[in-house]
Amino acid sequence: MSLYGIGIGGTGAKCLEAITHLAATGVFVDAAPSTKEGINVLFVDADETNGSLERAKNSLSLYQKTYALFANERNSIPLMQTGVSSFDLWSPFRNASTDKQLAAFFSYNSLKQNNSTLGHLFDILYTQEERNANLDVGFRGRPAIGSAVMSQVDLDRLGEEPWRSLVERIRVDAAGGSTPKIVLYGSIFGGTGASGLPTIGRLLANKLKKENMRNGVKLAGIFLLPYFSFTPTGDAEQVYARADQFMLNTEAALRYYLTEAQQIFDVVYLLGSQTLSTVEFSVGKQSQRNDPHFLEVYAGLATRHFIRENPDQHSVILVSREIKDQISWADIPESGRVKQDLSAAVRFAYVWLSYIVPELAIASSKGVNLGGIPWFKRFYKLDSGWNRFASPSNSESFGLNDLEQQEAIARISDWCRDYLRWIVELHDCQGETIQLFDAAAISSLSPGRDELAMLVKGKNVSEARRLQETIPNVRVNLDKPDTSGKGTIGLARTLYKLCRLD
Amino acid sequence: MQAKAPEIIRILSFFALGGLLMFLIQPILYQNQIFFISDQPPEIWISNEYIPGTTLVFLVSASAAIAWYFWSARAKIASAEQVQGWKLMWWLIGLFPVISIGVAIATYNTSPDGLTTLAFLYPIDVFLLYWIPTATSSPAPVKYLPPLSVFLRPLFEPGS
Repeated sequence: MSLYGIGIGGTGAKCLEAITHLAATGVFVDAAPSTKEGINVLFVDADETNGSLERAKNSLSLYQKTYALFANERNSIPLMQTGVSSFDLWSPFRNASTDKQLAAFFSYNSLKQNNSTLGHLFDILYTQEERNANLDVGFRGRPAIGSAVMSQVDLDRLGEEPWRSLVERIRVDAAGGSTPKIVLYGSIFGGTGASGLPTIGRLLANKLKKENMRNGVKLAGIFLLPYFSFTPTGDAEQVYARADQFMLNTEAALRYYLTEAQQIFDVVYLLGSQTLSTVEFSVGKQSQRNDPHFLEVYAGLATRHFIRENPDQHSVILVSREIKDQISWADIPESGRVKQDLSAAVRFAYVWLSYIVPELAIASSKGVNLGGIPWFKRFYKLDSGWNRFASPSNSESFGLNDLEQQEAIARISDWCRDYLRWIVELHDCQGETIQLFDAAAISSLSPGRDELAMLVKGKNVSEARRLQETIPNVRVNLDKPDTSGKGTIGLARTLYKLCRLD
Repeated sequence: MQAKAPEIIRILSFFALGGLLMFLIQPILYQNQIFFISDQPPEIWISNEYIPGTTLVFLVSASAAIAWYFWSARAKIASAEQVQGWKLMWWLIGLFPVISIGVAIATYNTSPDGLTTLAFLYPIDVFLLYWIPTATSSPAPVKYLPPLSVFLRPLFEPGS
């Protein structure tokens, strides 16, 4: 069974970013365990340089590079087990040779000349500013603009990538006997998401129906209700998203789904928060780069629920939290499993960056001192000085300064940094208190902070356990004979197993 | 800190070996004049001068090894840099057996022949009672810290 995630707009991209990180930590291992299957993602956005989109694509790229390193290590640890492949980005303006303005997109001048009735209708529906606004920054929080552009998408023209490849892959999966699952992510209060979700959802459903595949495919929508707000700055252009209209947009969108669009999706998840996080205003492009939000994690967990539980179309499932304005592990669905996966990955990344990488860097530049890093010879060749005589199994090991090993260290480090960045930014939620991890400790990466137990919040750790979960203990335990392979990957796997404490 | 039984057993084994050497084999060597004591009967020199001095060296060396083991077992080393302090500690603790050699010879020995041979035998004894036990059986955080431990430890702990 394959999962297809289509992230629409900036919020959709952030949901796919969360999906990527959750996949890396192993949250989807028991949902999509085979490497042949896994998760396929597609980004949809008119604003191709959107900051949130770029960050999500970067996270995906880092994960894919690291995932490839573990190709021979499948099923040994949950980390890096779920493949995430990408159909990259689709923009409704991809084939447009015209300016990215609504008027140009619909040939407004011709319309006014040749069909004045439609031209007048156009004038009624859209103000002059809206007709002439440059849409390369997205649909500026105007669902009416986005819907008009998105409705021109014609999935019947199979020549258009990436839809052609996407539908073809779904066809192959369905023909293979599995039930492909498609999830659309986006906000229903903004511009791209609000317009793209129903439009692309309907187009996709119709396409699948036309191809006689609809019954063999499950289609879900994960809609994010308003969860952030902003104050426009004094120099903002006239046409921009208005946070004070988010609730109105949401009400209209939900009414639309109730009356017109219930048949599109098999399952719909609605996610929202009473507390609106404050983000910096941006019209679009790279400056529109909102921090990750815990609701996107919920979107990822809703995806897991959709894959595993196969919910009935008429079921209503509620998720709530214990304390307003606070998120703790008790509020996370399947918290036992999710906490285990996320925490193990946090500990792993923390120890990798704060301890392993600095030690390997010193060993690489100044030579190996086994007194300082006793575990070194379990993973790498000792090939200089007297150390050559210190290990009988030298010949099977990899050299630390081999290009392949250095590349592996760099890739894993890049992924660790990006994962911890996402975790820390999740906790920096205006108006909310996120009680999942100690974000300050994680971001400091202080070598003095060697108590790994304290990185995870909310658990009562015994003194004995607290003293055990430390970097000094990891250093000792890495030097056990039963390590999980040689080289950097063996080191990473062994370290991960030590970090999976629960 | 959790003492590992194999390490403790190895340390005690080296103590037993050292004791055997110092209190049985070496006296036999003196009694049989393999190591020559010319200025007094060997038996008298052994009982009045050799045994007290040797007992001092044995006790100080063994105590130093035990002190190193239990002290270093508490080490919380979070980086290779932090090992340097413990390296210095090993040498400092090792000074005590060396000093005990000097005290033993100066305090208990009056024979010039004894001085020559003890100056050769006592360092070997200290090597067996302090250096070898710490090199083969130091606790995990400092297992490769004593000199030669990288080569000696695997001989006694295959797979280490």
